[in-house]
Amino acid sequence: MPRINVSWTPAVGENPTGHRIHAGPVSGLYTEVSGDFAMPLTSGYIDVSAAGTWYLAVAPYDASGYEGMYSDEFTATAGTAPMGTLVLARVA
Amino acid sequence: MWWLLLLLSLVAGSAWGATITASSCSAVDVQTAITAASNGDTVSVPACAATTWTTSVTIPNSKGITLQGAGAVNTRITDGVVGAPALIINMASGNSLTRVTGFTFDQAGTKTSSGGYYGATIGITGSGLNSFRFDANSLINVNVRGIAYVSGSGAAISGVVDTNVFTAPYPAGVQMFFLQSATQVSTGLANDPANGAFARPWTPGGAEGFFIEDNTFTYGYVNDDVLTGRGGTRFIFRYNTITGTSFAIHGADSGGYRGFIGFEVYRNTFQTPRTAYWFRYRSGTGVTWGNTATSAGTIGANTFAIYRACLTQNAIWASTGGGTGLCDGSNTWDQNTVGANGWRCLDQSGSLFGVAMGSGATAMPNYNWLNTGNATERPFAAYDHDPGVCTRDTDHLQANRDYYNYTASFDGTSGVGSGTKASMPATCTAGVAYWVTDEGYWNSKQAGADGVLYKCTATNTWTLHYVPYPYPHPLRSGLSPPTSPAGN
Repeated sequence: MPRINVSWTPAVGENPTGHRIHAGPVSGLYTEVSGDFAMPLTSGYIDVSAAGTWYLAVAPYDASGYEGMYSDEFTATAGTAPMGTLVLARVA
Repeated sequence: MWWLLLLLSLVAGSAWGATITASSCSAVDVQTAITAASNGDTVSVPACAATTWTTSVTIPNSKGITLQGAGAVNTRITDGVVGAPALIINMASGNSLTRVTGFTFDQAGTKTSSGGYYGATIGITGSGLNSFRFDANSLINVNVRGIAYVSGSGAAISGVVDTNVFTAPYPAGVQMFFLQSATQVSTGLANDPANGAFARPWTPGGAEGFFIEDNTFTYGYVNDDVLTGRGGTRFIFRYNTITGTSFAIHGADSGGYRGFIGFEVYRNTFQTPRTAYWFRYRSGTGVTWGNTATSAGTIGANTFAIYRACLTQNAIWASTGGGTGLCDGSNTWDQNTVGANGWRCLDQSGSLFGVAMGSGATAMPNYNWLNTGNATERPFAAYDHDPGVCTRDTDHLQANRDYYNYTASFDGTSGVGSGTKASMPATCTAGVAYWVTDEGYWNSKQAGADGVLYKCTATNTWTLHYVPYPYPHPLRSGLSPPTSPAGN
């Protein structure tokens, strides 16, 4: 699955448990979600179902898992191959 | 280190504000504390024996504050105000959130419908997206109306009413919510600039509207309904439990007001709804899905209705140039499609009218699926006022044009289907819809997919159409959005 890497800045003065990334093929309509990225992480990724342009937003969540207000929407393009994959090379 | 302490104090001040404690539960002391509070502060109201307010307490639109009782069991206010609400919440864009939590408001069964908020104990006015939250309160012994939102501006507003308890034990007609965004149309039915609510698009799944979720409503008598109103309002009613009454909203058929714009009603649980009807929409368009009703008796039908189709009941509409006021092809505020007896009628279900009434209406059908009464699917139909006498109401509201119902054996040609994405038919007729159960993650109370709606926008072309707004409403977590998001 193509991967989109995402970064964000947590809201000042609040204490979310973490953040999730939502993505969809249409502005404002999100069909896919990432895993949880617990604080203090401020970046993460979402594996989307197809290559192409995606509309995304980042949401904080609390200890109950309930999400707060979504960030402004932004776009990103997912390639045809997974991105950011770590390749381990054998050292002779 | 002084600069660090200063920074922390500034951050703390902006995020949490100060707390001001009212000297008592009296209206005077609570109003004094509110007046002393600044934007972002909390006004704490102590526990007290039942205290009667005979004058209204107002949260002005110059500030957004939290008005916090000591819990609904402990801070009890009796509404003794004549001709006005006990509590008026006035909002404006740019303020902090206005929140009211932890009270019992007792209407005591003595209210009348006089005054600007139609007899409500809680009056809401003003504007602003994500501007208010009313939660963890009890609003009891309601005999007229519970919460009324009244605005003459038609400006955008949104907020959430959640986890409250509402009771209406009296035989009088009770509308627990009455929502009215725009003014009365009174200028000869010309395009009315005051009705700005109609200038903004309606998109199911969007952020604008009254979100009413996770409340319980208990009616002692099946008189009137949980929610109604008029004048360009939009609302989202979800995950509530309603005992002893039904759901119906006004249309552009009473008092010279226009109808609702849009609604979403889903995953509510009804016990013993009215036998006359379960749902009856007289205006507005949207989605109704996943609701359940149980009753030992008859569960009323689900209907769309246009009172102006066959009833000459509206004197104000008639006096402003409409003759009888009927939607029959003779009145300019309807679309008056040739040969269709007036269809599309102003603000009728399945249509969107903008500020401009008349010919500018566009199709926006209602979609209804998986609404079960005593475990049986309950489809919607046109309400026929007088069968065999006047057929205009059924002419104006037609299945697979103005509304689409769930179809268990969905093949893409009519109705609304439901199932996995892989089961969605490859072929489809424009207008039908399909609820995809294995996409969409908008409900953070549960793991797994929550569902999204696809619409067939052209022959054999499925387009993502509707994803419900995040649930629980994001204001309930109290978390602000992160900033500067970016992707590779």
